[in-house]
Amino acid sequence: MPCSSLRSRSLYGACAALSLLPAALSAADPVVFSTASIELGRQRVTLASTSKPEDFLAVAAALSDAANWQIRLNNSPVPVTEVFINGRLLTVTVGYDPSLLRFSSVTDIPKDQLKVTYLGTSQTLTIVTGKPAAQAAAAPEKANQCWKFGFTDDKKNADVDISGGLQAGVGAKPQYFWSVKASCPFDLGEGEKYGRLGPSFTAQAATEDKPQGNADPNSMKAGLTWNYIQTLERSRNGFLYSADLISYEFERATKKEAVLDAGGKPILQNYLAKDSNLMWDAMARYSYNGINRPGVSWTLGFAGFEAGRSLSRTVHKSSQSSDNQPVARLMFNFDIYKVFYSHNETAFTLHGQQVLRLPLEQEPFQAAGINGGNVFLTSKPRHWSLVETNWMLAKGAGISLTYKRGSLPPGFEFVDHQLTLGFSVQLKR
Amino acid sequence: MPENDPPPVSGTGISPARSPDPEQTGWNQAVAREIALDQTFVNDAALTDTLGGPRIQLISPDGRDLYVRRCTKEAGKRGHSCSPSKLPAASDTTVEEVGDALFKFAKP
Repeated sequence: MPCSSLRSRSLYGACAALSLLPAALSAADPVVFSTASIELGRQRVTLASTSKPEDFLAVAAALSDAANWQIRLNNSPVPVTEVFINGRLLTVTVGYDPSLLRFSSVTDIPKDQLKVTYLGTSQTLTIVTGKPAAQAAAAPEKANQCWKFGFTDDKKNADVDISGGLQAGVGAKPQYFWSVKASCPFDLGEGEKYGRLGPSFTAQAATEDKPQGNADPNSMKAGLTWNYIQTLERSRNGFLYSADLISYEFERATKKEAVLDAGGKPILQNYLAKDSNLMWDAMARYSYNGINRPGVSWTLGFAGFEAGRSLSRTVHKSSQSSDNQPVARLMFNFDIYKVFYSHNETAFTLHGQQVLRLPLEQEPFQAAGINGGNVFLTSKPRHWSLVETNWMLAKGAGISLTYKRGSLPPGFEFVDHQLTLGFSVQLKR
Repeated sequence: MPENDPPPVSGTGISPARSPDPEQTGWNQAVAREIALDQTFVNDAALTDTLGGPRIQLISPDGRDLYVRRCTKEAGKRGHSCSPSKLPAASDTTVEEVGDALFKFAKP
């Protein structure tokens, strides 16, 4: 019978302690505490341990003995009255006699003068007190924290993600590529009450030694992005909203066109095809995160749109001028994550993505085997499929293998069965 | 000693875990860790479990974003607001790391 099924607190605690007893007896590492804080109103000091549960519980009896604890203010002892430990949270609560610690606020206690010592290991922690510390803790962050980064393992939430590698697609010459994603969002309201807003930038490019050899065109998108997360009561699921309040998407590729030379003979000549849009887009997604045997979770983008106008276009209707090329699309996407576990550890995670765009206005499209491989305007649905996995080599650096198929705005050049092997570095503020 | 803390179990000195009461519980590392554990919505979750691990199974980045949002929302209800972006949310982040970051970055 699991301990959690017991209703009695006493039985629960005894059961938990007994079940951990064998591990506790074999533990060897000394218990270590990371932080200590004081609550004047409750006359207690709380210490958090970063030790393993078995190491913590191995010395449970010693930890719960008040004689093993000292609290000192300016080297004067403050009597310890009682001690409670929490084996689940790995914390120790030390009660003290308030008659020798008469302060109305933590900020009134002299800085670096209040210390707590566990005599079992002689570890002493300084309790954060005093005005400078309190003011520093409460002070608002400086406005520009954009250039303070550290490595992160979380690819999606990285503020800077730089990748490079080799990509190859059907009908396209293998080539080296690089891509970069950067953003600098700021909280809107306390605790992101209204979400986060900030500039964002994505770009990718590839070696282009041969015209029409691109498996994926060079592109760039810069904008002002807003994100908001909505949790649901007593649920692991929720809604996520995002919007590019304004963004500029740009794509370029070297193409070939037939021209007549001086002698009147047709020859192929290189030219630069450019497509750019000024856009406004938004998406609402539902995220499912249930606990299940297959280890699968998914996110459905059920309501999205992209709207704006084209600033430059390789091909357009004869009736259209450059300032009369509207862009409007409905957008839906679906992301699925599957994790493989080995010996109770995550071996690796697979991510699949399917995106469907339904243009309401005709937009460029280009695919080998359609219209002679030439760009043409159409409002046919645009699909994008992606499967990727990422192996982290070290914190903030990993190798990724990605499969892509479909077309992306603004140029919608079709990418057919492209495989990408890359190396990436991720940074987060 | 706080009146709401459960009594220690005789012979072990261990206080059984219980859900904090927003009206009575103060703000310390234990409360922050309790919030981090509670918001996984997994009964037998432990501090050493990783977010993307087999027990908690917050597999997708969106799922982990929602989790840290729930943690900060709960802390905010107790008057200790914190930005979710301050909390680690990688697949191999432990519940303990989330709880300790919540205490570190939430308003004192």
